[in-house]
Amino acid sequence: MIWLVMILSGLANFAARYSMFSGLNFLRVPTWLEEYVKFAPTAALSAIVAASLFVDETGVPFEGSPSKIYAALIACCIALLTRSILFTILVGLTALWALS
Amino acid sequence: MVHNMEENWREFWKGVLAQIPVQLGVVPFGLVFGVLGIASGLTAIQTILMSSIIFGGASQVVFAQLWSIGASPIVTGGSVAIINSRHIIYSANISKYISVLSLRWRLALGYLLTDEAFAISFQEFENRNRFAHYHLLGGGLTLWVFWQISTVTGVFLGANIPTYLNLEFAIPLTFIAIILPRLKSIAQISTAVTASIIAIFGQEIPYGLWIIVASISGMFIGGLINQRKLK
Repeated sequence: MIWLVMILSGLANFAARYSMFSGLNFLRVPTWLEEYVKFAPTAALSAIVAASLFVDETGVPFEGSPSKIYAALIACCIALLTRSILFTILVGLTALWALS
Repeated sequence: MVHNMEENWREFWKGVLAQIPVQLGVVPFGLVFGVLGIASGLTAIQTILMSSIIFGGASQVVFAQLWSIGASPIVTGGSVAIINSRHIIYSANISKYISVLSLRWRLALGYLLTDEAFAISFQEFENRNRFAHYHLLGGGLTLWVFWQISTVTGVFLGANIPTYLNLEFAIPLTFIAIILPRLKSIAQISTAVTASIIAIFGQEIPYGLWIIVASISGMFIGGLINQRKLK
Protein backbone atom coordinates (compact mmCIF):
# COMPACT_ATOMS: atom_id res chain seq x y z
CA MET A 1 0.00 0.00 0.00
CA ILE A 2 2.68 2.49 0.97
CA TRP A 3 4.41 1.89 -2.35
CA LEU A 4 1.24 2.59 -4.29
CA VAL A 5 0.65 5.87 -2.41
CA MET A 6 4.28 6.84 -2.85
CA ILE A 7 4.26 6.17 -6.59
CA LEU A 8 0.94 8.00 -7.09
CA SER A 9 2.29 10.96 -5.08
CA GLY A 10 5.42 10.93 -7.20
CA LEU A 11 3.35 10.89 -10.38
CA ALA A 12 1.21 13.79 -9.15
CA ASN A 13 4.37 15.72 -8.36
CA PHE A 14 5.82 15.00 -11.78
CA ALA A 15 2.53 15.97 -13.44
CA ALA A 16 2.66 19.39 -11.75
CA ARG A 17 6.23 20.01 -12.87
CA TYR A 18 5.72 18.67 -16.36
CA SER A 19 2.25 20.20 -16.89
CA MET A 20 3.21 23.28 -18.87
CA PHE A 21 6.04 21.55 -20.76
CA SER A 22 3.66 19.10 -22.41
CA GLY A 23 3.08 21.25 -25.49
CA LEU A 24 -0.59 20.23 -25.36
CA ASN A 25 -2.74 23.05 -26.63
CA PHE A 26 -5.21 23.14 -23.77
CA LEU A 27 -2.31 23.35 -21.32
CA ARG A 28 -0.59 26.22 -23.07
CA VAL A 29 -0.20 29.41 -21.03
CA PRO A 30 -2.56 32.01 -22.58
CA THR A 31 -0.97 35.32 -23.60
CA TRP A 32 -2.91 37.38 -21.07
CA LEU A 33 -1.64 35.09 -18.31
CA GLU A 34 1.99 35.55 -19.32
CA GLU A 35 1.88 39.10 -17.92
CA TYR A 36 1.15 37.58 -14.52
CA VAL A 37 3.35 34.50 -14.73
CA LYS A 38 6.36 36.82 -15.14
CA PHE A 39 5.98 37.55 -11.44
CA ALA A 40 5.93 33.89 -10.43
CA PRO A 41 9.55 33.60 -9.24
CA THR A 42 9.33 36.69 -7.05
CA ALA A 43 5.94 35.66 -5.66
CA ALA A 44 6.66 32.01 -4.85
CA LEU A 45 10.19 32.51 -3.52
CA SER A 46 9.32 35.51 -1.34
CA ALA A 47 6.39 33.56 0.12
CA ILE A 48 8.78 30.76 1.12
CA VAL A 49 11.26 33.26 2.61
CA ALA A 50 8.59 35.18 4.55
CA ALA A 51 7.17 31.99 6.04
CA SER A 52 10.58 30.70 7.07
CA LEU A 53 11.45 34.01 8.78
CA PHE A 54 8.22 35.13 10.40
CA VAL A 55 6.33 31.95 11.20
CA ASP A 56 7.24 29.39 13.88
CA GLU A 57 7.03 25.61 13.46
CA THR A 58 3.39 25.51 14.57
CA GLY A 59 2.26 28.10 12.03
CA VAL A 60 1.94 31.08 14.39
CA PRO A 61 2.93 34.42 12.79
CA PHE A 62 5.71 36.50 14.34
CA GLU A 63 6.71 33.80 16.78
CA GLY A 64 9.78 32.86 14.76
CA SER A 65 13.24 33.50 16.18
CA PRO A 66 14.28 37.18 16.01
CA SER A 67 17.89 36.20 15.36
CA LYS A 68 16.77 34.72 12.04
CA ILE A 69 15.20 38.03 11.07
CA TYR A 70 18.33 40.01 11.96
CA ALA A 71 20.53 37.52 10.12
CA ALA A 72 18.23 37.77 7.10
CA LEU A 73 18.43 41.59 7.17
CA ILE A 74 22.22 41.41 7.13
CA ALA A 75 22.00 38.85 4.31
CA CYS A 76 19.73 41.24 2.38
CA CYS A 77 22.44 43.93 2.45
CA ILE A 78 25.03 41.42 1.25
CA ALA A 79 22.71 40.19 -1.50
CA LEU A 80 22.17 43.73 -2.77
CA LEU A 81 25.84 44.66 -2.54
CA THR A 82 27.44 41.52 -3.95
CA ARG A 83 24.59 39.76 -5.82
CA SER A 84 26.40 36.59 -4.86
CA ILE A 85 24.42 33.61 -3.57
CA LEU A 86 27.51 32.13 -1.97
CA PHE A 87 28.39 35.28 -0.01
CA THR A 88 24.79 35.77 1.02
CA ILE A 89 24.64 32.23 2.42
CA LEU A 90 28.00 32.47 4.19
CA VAL A 91 27.35 35.87 5.78
CA GLY A 92 23.74 34.99 6.64
CA LEU A 93 24.70 31.75 8.38
CA THR A 94 27.59 33.37 10.22
CA ALA A 95 25.28 36.17 11.38
CA LEU A 96 22.73 33.63 12.62
CA TRP A 97 25.39 31.72 14.56
CA ALA A 98 26.75 34.94 16.06
CA LEU A 99 23.29 36.16 17.08
CA SER A 100 21.88 32.96 18.55
CA MET B 1 28.93 21.46 -34.32
CA VAL B 2 31.94 20.93 -32.11
CA HIS B 3 31.78 24.57 -31.16
CA ASN B 4 28.09 24.23 -30.36
CA MET B 5 28.69 21.23 -28.20
CA GLU B 6 31.26 23.08 -26.16
CA GLU B 7 28.93 25.95 -25.57
CA ASN B 8 26.02 23.85 -24.38
CA TRP B 9 28.11 21.77 -22.01
CA ARG B 10 29.74 24.90 -20.69
CA GLU B 11 26.23 26.02 -19.79
CA PHE B 12 25.58 22.65 -18.15
CA TRP B 13 28.64 23.06 -15.92
CA LYS B 14 27.68 26.63 -15.12
CA GLY B 15 24.37 25.24 -13.86
CA VAL B 16 26.22 22.67 -11.75
CA LEU B 17 28.53 25.30 -10.23
CA ALA B 18 25.68 27.72 -9.53
CA GLN B 19 23.86 25.00 -7.63
CA ILE B 20 26.81 24.01 -5.39
CA PRO B 21 26.48 26.73 -2.70
CA VAL B 22 22.77 25.99 -2.44
CA GLN B 23 23.64 22.45 -1.34
CA LEU B 24 24.73 23.90 1.99
CA GLY B 25 21.01 24.11 2.71
CA VAL B 26 19.88 21.06 0.73
CA VAL B 27 22.25 18.52 2.32
CA PRO B 28 21.16 19.06 5.94
CA PHE B 29 17.54 18.89 4.76
CA GLY B 30 18.25 15.54 3.07
CA LEU B 31 19.99 14.26 6.20
CA VAL B 32 17.02 15.32 8.32
CA PHE B 33 14.62 13.59 5.95
CA GLY B 34 16.67 10.39 6.07
CA VAL B 35 16.62 10.41 9.87
CA LEU B 36 12.95 11.35 10.01
CA GLY B 37 11.89 8.67 7.52
CA ILE B 38 13.33 5.95 9.75
CA ALA B 39 11.93 7.62 12.88
CA SER B 40 8.46 7.63 11.27
CA GLY B 41 8.60 3.89 10.86
CA LEU B 42 9.44 3.70 7.16
CA THR B 43 12.00 1.10 6.14
CA ALA B 44 15.43 2.18 4.92
CA ILE B 45 14.56 1.24 1.35
CA GLN B 46 11.23 3.11 1.46
CA THR B 47 12.91 6.23 2.80
CA ILE B 48 15.73 6.11 0.27
CA LEU B 49 13.53 5.42 -2.74
CA MET B 50 11.05 8.12 -1.75
CA SER B 51 13.77 10.66 -2.50
CA SER B 52 13.79 9.48 -6.12
CA ILE B 53 10.09 8.71 -6.52
CA ILE B 54 8.68 11.91 -4.99
CA PHE B 55 11.83 14.05 -5.07
CA GLY B 56 10.40 17.03 -3.21
CA GLY B 57 11.86 17.92 0.19
CA ALA B 58 9.01 19.38 2.22
CA SER B 59 6.43 17.04 0.74
CA GLN B 60 8.52 13.96 1.63
CA VAL B 61 8.70 15.08 5.25
CA VAL B 62 4.92 15.54 5.26
CA PHE B 63 4.42 12.11 3.65
CA ALA B 64 6.55 10.42 6.32
CA GLN B 65 4.80 12.26 9.16
CA LEU B 66 1.28 11.62 7.89
CA TRP B 67 2.04 7.98 7.17
CA SER B 68 3.47 7.47 10.65
CA ILE B 69 0.35 8.82 12.36
CA GLY B 70 -1.81 6.53 10.22
CA ALA B 71 -3.43 9.17 8.01
CA SER B 72 -5.46 7.73 5.15
CA PRO B 73 -3.68 7.17 1.81
CA ILE B 74 -5.87 9.86 0.21
CA VAL B 75 -4.93 12.46 2.81
CA THR B 76 -1.24 11.54 2.53
CA GLY B 77 -1.14 11.54 -1.27
CA GLY B 78 -3.37 14.60 -1.50
CA SER B 79 -1.14 16.60 0.85
CA VAL B 80 1.94 15.75 -1.18
CA ALA B 81 0.18 16.75 -4.40
CA ILE B 82 -1.06 20.04 -2.96
CA ILE B 83 2.32 21.00 -1.50
CA ASN B 84 3.94 20.35 -4.87
CA SER B 85 1.27 22.04 -6.96
CA ARG B 86 3.32 25.27 -6.80
CA HIS B 87 5.54 23.68 -9.42
CA ILE B 88 2.78 24.32 -11.96
CA ILE B 89 3.63 28.00 -11.52
CA TYR B 90 7.32 27.36 -12.21
CA SER B 91 6.44 25.12 -15.14
CA ALA B 92 4.27 27.88 -16.63
CA ASN B 93 7.03 30.45 -16.16
CA ILE B 94 9.45 28.66 -18.47
CA SER B 95 7.01 26.66 -20.61
CA LYS B 96 7.53 28.89 -23.65
CA TYR B 97 11.14 27.76 -23.85
CA ILE B 98 10.81 24.15 -22.74
CA SER B 99 7.68 23.01 -24.60
CA VAL B 100 9.54 23.26 -27.93
CA LEU B 101 12.25 20.82 -26.79
CA SER B 102 12.27 17.07 -27.49
CA LEU B 103 10.23 14.73 -25.31
CA ARG B 104 13.38 13.43 -23.61
CA TRP B 105 14.35 16.94 -22.54
CA ARG B 106 10.86 17.80 -21.37
CA LEU B 107 10.57 14.62 -19.29
CA ALA B 108 14.01 15.08 -17.74
CA LEU B 109 13.52 18.76 -16.91
CA GLY B 110 10.00 18.08 -15.65
CA TYR B 111 11.38 15.53 -13.21
CA LEU B 112 14.20 17.82 -12.07
CA LEU B 113 12.19 21.04 -11.63
CA THR B 114 12.54 21.86 -7.92
CA ASP B 115 12.34 25.19 -6.05
CA GLU B 116 16.11 25.50 -5.96
CA ALA B 117 16.75 24.37 -9.55
CA PHE B 118 14.10 26.80 -10.81
CA ALA B 119 15.43 29.62 -8.63
CA ILE B 120 18.96 29.19 -9.94
CA SER B 121 18.15 28.77 -13.64
CA PHE B 122 15.01 30.76 -14.54
CA GLN B 123 17.03 33.91 -15.17
CA GLU B 124 18.90 32.11 -17.95
CA PHE B 125 15.54 31.56 -19.66
CA GLU B 126 14.54 35.19 -19.10
CA ASN B 127 17.84 36.34 -20.61
CA ARG B 128 17.04 34.25 -23.69
CA ASN B 129 20.13 32.16 -23.15
CA ARG B 130 20.02 29.64 -26.02
CA PHE B 131 21.29 26.87 -23.76
CA ALA B 132 19.31 27.71 -20.65
CA HIS B 133 17.92 24.15 -20.68
CA TYR B 134 21.45 22.82 -20.22
CA HIS B 135 21.85 25.19 -17.27
CA LEU B 136 18.66 23.81 -15.70
CA LEU B 137 19.73 20.22 -16.43
CA GLY B 138 23.11 20.77 -14.76
CA GLY B 139 21.60 22.48 -11.72
CA GLY B 140 18.70 20.02 -11.44
CA LEU B 141 20.97 16.96 -11.65
CA THR B 142 23.37 18.41 -9.08
CA LEU B 143 20.54 18.90 -6.63
CA TRP B 144 19.22 15.40 -7.37
CA VAL B 145 22.60 13.78 -6.68
CA PHE B 146 23.12 15.71 -3.42
CA TRP B 147 19.55 14.95 -2.33
CA GLN B 148 20.00 11.20 -2.86
CA ILE B 149 23.39 11.05 -1.15
CA SER B 150 22.21 13.07 1.82
CA THR B 151 19.06 10.94 2.22
CA VAL B 152 21.09 7.72 2.23
CA THR B 153 23.58 9.26 4.66
CA GLY B 154 20.74 10.40 6.92
CA VAL B 155 19.24 6.91 6.92
CA PHE B 156 22.52 5.26 7.91
CA LEU B 157 24.04 7.83 10.21
CA GLY B 158 20.96 8.68 12.21
CA ALA B 159 20.36 11.97 13.95
CA ASN B 160 23.87 13.30 14.18
CA ILE B 161 23.58 16.72 12.55
CA PRO B 162 23.68 19.33 15.29
CA THR B 163 20.44 21.28 14.86
CA TYR B 164 21.99 24.39 16.46
CA LEU B 165 23.97 24.87 13.23
CA ASN B 166 20.67 25.86 11.54
CA LEU B 167 22.11 24.91 8.16
CA GLU B 168 18.65 24.66 6.62
CA PHE B 169 18.60 28.47 6.90
CA ALA B 170 20.77 28.44 3.77
CA ILE B 171 17.63 27.78 1.67
CA PRO B 172 15.77 31.03 2.46
CA LEU B 173 19.13 32.83 2.21
CA THR B 174 19.53 31.49 -1.31
CA PHE B 175 16.10 32.78 -2.26
CA ILE B 176 16.88 36.20 -0.71
CA ALA B 177 19.99 36.46 -2.86
CA ILE B 178 17.95 35.66 -5.96
CA ILE B 179 14.88 37.84 -5.37
CA LEU B 180 16.31 41.04 -3.87
CA PRO B 181 18.27 42.23 -6.91
CA ARG B 182 15.08 41.72 -8.97
CA LEU B 183 12.99 44.12 -6.88
CA LYS B 184 13.60 47.07 -9.17
CA SER B 185 10.03 48.06 -10.04
CA ILE B 186 6.93 48.92 -8.04
CA ALA B 187 5.27 45.87 -9.60
CA GLN B 188 8.02 43.48 -8.42
CA ILE B 189 8.11 45.01 -4.93
CA SER B 190 4.32 44.81 -4.61
CA THR B 191 4.45 41.16 -5.70
CA ALA B 192 6.99 40.32 -3.01
CA VAL B 193 5.17 42.25 -0.28
CA THR B 194 1.76 40.76 -1.13
CA ALA B 195 3.05 37.19 -1.33
CA SER B 196 4.98 37.62 1.94
CA ILE B 197 2.05 39.05 3.91
CA ILE B 198 -0.25 36.27 2.75
CA ALA B 199 2.41 33.65 3.49
CA ILE B 200 2.74 34.97 7.05
CA PHE B 201 -0.94 35.37 7.88
CA GLY B 202 -2.32 32.62 5.67
CA GLN B 203 -0.79 29.69 7.55
CA GLU B 204 -4.27 28.67 8.68
CA ILE B 205 -5.43 28.15 5.10
CA PRO B 206 -6.37 24.45 4.99
CA TYR B 207 -4.26 21.72 3.38
CA GLY B 208 -1.12 23.86 3.33
CA LEU B 209 -2.46 25.85 0.41
CA TRP B 210 -0.98 29.09 1.79
CA ILE B 211 1.92 28.95 -0.63
CA ILE B 212 -0.36 28.68 -3.64
CA VAL B 213 -2.68 31.44 -2.43
CA ALA B 214 0.32 33.67 -1.62
CA SER B 215 2.00 33.04 -4.99
CA ILE B 216 -1.12 33.64 -7.06
CA SER B 217 -2.05 36.80 -5.13
CA GLY B 218 1.47 38.16 -5.56
CA MET B 219 1.44 37.39 -9.29
CA PHE B 220 -1.98 39.00 -9.63
CA ILE B 221 -0.94 42.26 -7.93
CA GLY B 222 2.34 42.40 -9.87
CA GLY B 223 0.66 41.82 -13.22
CA LEU B 224 -2.09 44.33 -12.46
CA ILE B 225 0.30 47.13 -11.50
CA ASN B 226 2.48 46.39 -14.49
CA GLN B 227 -0.44 46.65 -16.92
CA ARG B 228 -1.73 49.89 -15.38
CA LYS B 229 1.68 51.44 -15.87
CA LEU B 230 1.79 50.43 -19.53
CA LYS B 231 -1.45 52.23 -20.30
